[in-house]
Amino acid sequence: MGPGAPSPEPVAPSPEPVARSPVPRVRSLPWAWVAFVALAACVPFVGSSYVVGVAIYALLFSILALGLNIMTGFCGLLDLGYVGFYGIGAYAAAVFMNNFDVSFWLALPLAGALGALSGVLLGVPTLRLTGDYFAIVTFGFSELVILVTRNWTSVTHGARGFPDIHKPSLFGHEFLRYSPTAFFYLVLALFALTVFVMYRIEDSRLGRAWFAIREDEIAAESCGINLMGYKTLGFAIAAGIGGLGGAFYASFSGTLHWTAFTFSESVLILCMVVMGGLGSIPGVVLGSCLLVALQEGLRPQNLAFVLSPLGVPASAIPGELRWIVYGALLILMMRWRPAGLWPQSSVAAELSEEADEAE
Amino acid sequence: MLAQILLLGVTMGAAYALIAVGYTMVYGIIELINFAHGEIYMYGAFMCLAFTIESTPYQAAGAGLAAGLIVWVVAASLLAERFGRGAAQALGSLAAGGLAGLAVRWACLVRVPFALSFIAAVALASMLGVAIEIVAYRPLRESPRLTALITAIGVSLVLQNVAQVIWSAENHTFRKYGAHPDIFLRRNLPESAPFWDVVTQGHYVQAGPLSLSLLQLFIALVAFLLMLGLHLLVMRTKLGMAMRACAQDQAAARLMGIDVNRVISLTFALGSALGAVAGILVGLYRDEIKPTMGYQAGVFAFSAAVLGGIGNIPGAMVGGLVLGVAQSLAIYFDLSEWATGVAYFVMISVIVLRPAGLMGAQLPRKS
Amino acid sequence: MNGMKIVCRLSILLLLLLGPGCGGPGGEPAGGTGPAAAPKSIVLGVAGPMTGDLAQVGKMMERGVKLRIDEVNAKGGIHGLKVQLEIGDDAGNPKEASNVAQKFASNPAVIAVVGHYNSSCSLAGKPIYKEAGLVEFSSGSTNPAVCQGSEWTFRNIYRDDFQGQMLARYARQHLNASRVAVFYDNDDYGIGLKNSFVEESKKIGLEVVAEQSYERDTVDFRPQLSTFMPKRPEVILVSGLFSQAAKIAAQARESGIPVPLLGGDGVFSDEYIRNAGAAAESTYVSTPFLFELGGDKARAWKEQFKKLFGVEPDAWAVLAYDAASILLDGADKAGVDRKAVRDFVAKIDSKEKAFPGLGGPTYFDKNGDCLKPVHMALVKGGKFVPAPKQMN
Repeated sequence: MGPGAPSPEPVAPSPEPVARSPVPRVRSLPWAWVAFVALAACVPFVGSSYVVGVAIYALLFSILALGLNIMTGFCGLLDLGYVGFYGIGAYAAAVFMNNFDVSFWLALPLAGALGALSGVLLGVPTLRLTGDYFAIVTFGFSELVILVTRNWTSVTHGARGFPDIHKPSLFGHEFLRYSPTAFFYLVLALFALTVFVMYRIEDSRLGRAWFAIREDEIAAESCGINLMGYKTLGFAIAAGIGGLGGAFYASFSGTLHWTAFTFSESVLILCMVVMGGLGSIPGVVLGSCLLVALQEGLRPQNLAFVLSPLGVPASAIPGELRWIVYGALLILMMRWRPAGLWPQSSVAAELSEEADEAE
Repeated sequence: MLAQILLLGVTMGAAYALIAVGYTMVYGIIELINFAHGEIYMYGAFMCLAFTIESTPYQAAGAGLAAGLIVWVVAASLLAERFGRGAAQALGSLAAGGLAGLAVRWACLVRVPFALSFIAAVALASMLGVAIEIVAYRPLRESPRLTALITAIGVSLVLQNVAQVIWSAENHTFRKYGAHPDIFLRRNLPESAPFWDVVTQGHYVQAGPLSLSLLQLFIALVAFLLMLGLHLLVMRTKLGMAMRACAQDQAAARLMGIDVNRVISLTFALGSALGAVAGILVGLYRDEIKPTMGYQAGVFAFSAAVLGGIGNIPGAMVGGLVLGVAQSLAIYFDLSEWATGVAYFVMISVIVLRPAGLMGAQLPRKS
Repeated sequence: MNGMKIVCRLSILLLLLLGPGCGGPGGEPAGGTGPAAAPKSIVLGVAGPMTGDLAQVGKMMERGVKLRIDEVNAKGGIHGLKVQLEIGDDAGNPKEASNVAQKFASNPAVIAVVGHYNSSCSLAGKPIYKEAGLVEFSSGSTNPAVCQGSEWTFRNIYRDDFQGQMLARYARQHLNASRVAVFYDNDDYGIGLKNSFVEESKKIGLEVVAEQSYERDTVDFRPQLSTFMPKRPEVILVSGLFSQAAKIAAQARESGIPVPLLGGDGVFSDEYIRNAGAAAESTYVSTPFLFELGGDKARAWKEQFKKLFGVEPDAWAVLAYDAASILLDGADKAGVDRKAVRDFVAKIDSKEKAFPGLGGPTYFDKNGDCLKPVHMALVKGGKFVPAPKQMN
């Protein structure tokens, strides 16, 4: 079956800058999400294990992007080092499982908790920083995490990489062995859980407080919102989700190496959030799935269905092409759809307003 | 030995400072962390190398094409600014681009003396900076900052991989092609040897227990002079005043009759030129030039810029030096694995304890 | 209404996700020459860093494998089937590597994979290849963990701990050293090699008088070298890659350190000599192969490679060529089947049954690690020559 060119379908733009309420109307969404998860659950029956493998990454990165979205989308804090928490979670889970023989099901929440804890530890001194300085500190933090994983050899196996991490087992036997299908359902469950939690949070007092902080810190504070408290909580939740994602990745991949946690991964996750639409839950998921699919889809070998009719062998296409197209797409997207593919209505409104102000 | 190590730190620090200035200038004026700046540094180094040596026809064609595109964009924008839009202007810019492309292609195919290559490469890289601003950032001037940030990331990705397609990922060195023999070994050069050969062939100045290669000396000297020049330009000239005005308030600057677009373009041009100079010098010093070299250097230089207070030009110089010295001290204390970490740690501490940077008084506005 | 729109959008997204893999299950080889009926060809995968920092190594692997495939196809292919090359670019990143592995695993036309190069990537691919029952044949991963726990993973490069032992013994026995200083690259390869060297040194009475690490972007090694001098080492081990080793050699000679240098296969590159110049003399390196020891066959191969690709082959090209040879030989003799290929490779388990590769006779132990002799090369007169004394 021909999938057609993976062009980002320019879905009907939502020029509705009318919605002024900071909480979007999302009542009809639950059904859509159930449908999405149900559709996704069919993937292993339709696609090859390669497709399933790619889908696992799409969902994993959706989870991470949803986590980052709390900070960047909900609270308005630019985080350039989100991958640090992901790395902490991954290494923590690996150490728990391999060195202390903790089962995966316990290591997963432990890694999440450790991620959240590191979020608090980093957040308390730094969350009072404004704007780009906060971004820079988070960036430095993630680089330090890499450095520790590289050099704390006795625990992380250092630059050699953490080998042969245990797989999850259920009822005493490793039924989740190496088959991507089982991991796919595991990550799908985690994904559904994350989405559910996101909606609950967005609709709650907590979410509203974050939106208020994002819109105007001073106004929020004067309304009695405890800025540091809410920001720290947001940071902790986001970091905890990163840690969970990391724990899943550790077990799925079976090996950890610092190269999987570099700054470029942080950038990738940030791009997913921004491309999909800051603050918009479906948008962030769309952004992550799209970028993961693009990265894979743009491999010269995967373009064979376009190239071979043209008489161009895949080997004639430089492998760098996919990164070039990917980069160009980011540029074009930001030029033509800066609010993202699926903007959160309140953000879209704010953006147009901001543009007016800047004039 | 400590003094010797400090000296090495100062050399690298000077190079960081040169790159950091580019970050800081752009940040100061449009509050954008220009991720593509590291790629300009890389591009400068590659162009200088390509001119100096005889490139393969493929590389020459690629470099020519890239240079032609850059010149075309810049020329089109300049002409449109001066004479408005029109067919003649479009043709003119196309012709300029085409000619420049052909010239670059030719220059890549033959050997060009180093000094000339150096100047041409810096000019091209500086135009690249301007072209990036025109194509990618200018349309986003009024959009939220995150949009521009992601665009910068996209630009960086594209440039790095285009360089990889043209030049491939292998290490290029000036020396490998016999363009500049060994930096590190002493050679007996004749009295009449050209200055550049003396610099790059690694004569050492011996001062007591310290030995310092001419190249190191040259890097430090060039960096210092350029910084001094830049400082004077910003503080003493009309253009500098316009830059400072734009950095403070673009709308007000426009009301004062300042052509904001032109000032921003010139800021990019200057910052990129300094970045390219650093790229070439570091390329010579480290003896390796590769498409991914911009990333790490960019990260360090960016840290340096933050260290000194981002947006603050003298701060970037101080930040670069502090970073270079801190890294070399880490080696001295036998912590070489952690040398890069020192940079980040210092950076984070400075931000948390003194958010305006070592030299900064100016706080960035809330994003 | 809103809900419908969302479902539509999300479904489009799913389709997008399914897109890339659709060529897979049909068994249509990538770069396919049209919709030929039935599998008219078999596919040999090459997985390595084709983009990014290490792209040059990946390209060398690709060329090595391509050369072998061309030779096989020129002779009529395997059981009448043409062999095709499929590239999997892992960019040296374990995350990408697992996608590449899944892609190969899900394409039934792929009979075996040469790769990955980075140990981290080979490790990430290992469980996937194991589950799919596909041979992962690394020609560059030296981390000891790579082959453990999977009967589907092999390599034709020795483990770096083996190499480290050999280097230590060589220093003790043939260079008659009793004091050694160690310089190592703070990365996977450098640390692994150094650790095993130091461990073996302790056993055989070779004293390690100093250890210093460096990062890949270090340019000035004089500070560390000056800490070595007072400790009077008789040999200096450089456990890292050629580009830094060249600088170390140059700076060591300049600082008046005359002792021989010792390096692993990471130093074995003509670039080393070109960069270090005269300072490279009397450097001993271990290597999985030496063109000079390979005789006429190796020389002819080198010429052919140069003619075809316009560049000099290096160790990675040779090892990838050998890997492809073994795997295709397996497909030819044991049958065009993943399992058959694995069993064929696993049976090459003793010196007698060794595969006569370009890089020397190759055979495997139970793990799939290769028990290859380590050759020692010496820089003399501006090029690598076989060292007068070899390990046995």
